[in-house]
Amino acid sequence: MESGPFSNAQVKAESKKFVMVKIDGDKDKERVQAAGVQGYPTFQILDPDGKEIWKDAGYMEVDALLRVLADALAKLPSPTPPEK
Amino acid sequence: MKALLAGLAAVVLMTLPLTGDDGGKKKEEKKAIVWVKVYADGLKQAQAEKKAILLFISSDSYMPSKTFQSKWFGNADVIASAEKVVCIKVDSAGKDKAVLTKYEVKKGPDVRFLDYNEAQLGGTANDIKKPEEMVELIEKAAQYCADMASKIEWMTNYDQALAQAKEQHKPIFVDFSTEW
Repeated sequence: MESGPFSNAQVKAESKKFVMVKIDGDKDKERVQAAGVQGYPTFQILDPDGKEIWKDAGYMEVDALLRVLADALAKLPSPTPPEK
Repeated sequence: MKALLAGLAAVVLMTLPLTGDDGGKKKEEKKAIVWVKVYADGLKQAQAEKKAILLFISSDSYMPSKTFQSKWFGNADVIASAEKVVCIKVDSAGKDKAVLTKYEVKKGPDVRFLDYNEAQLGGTANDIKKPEEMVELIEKAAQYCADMASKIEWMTNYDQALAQAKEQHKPIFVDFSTEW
């Protein structure tokens, strides 16, 4: 059962445009360190190549999260056309 | 003048299919379940449409299979419900032997439901007694997958997520949290 902003229908719909990953900070210390996470929850958005485009810590309201998701999609570079 | 006549003829020809039907009386087609005959194709369709799968393994040359099919899948209510799921029919006498091995079925008839990730939902539906039971099972599977599709699909493997993001050209949203 989703909780917080992730139980919101609009957030659920927008999440389909992302690959959603949940990292358990207690289990995956290496990833936590690599991402420079200082506290929980921390949210991070990466481009399709794994480059960080946004990160923030702390609880997020639905509206703020929707704004962040929309901004990230707008920043997304167009896919490179296949080489001829 | 010739051009005008040719133009008029073209207009008349274009309107013929509209006026040349049976005067608005459409023949009522007898509905039937649309079966996908290749398992992999059905699975692909279910994944794309986020729908449950009704998997029917049978052989048309085997009488119990034919009886089973007409008894349960010829029912109007079952046919109507079946539109909510992807119906795959695998011929147990055909080439798709891997499916028979996977589900440990020899000849069939065998009916079971899968979600769009190929996980089986409950047991088989081979012992139902009434069409209503089949309808109920179809509706239950369809609803399960509708609920499943509306949920956020969280991945827990970072490397797999990265590979998927690259392939689908999607950004990645990471939620770092703890159980505590």
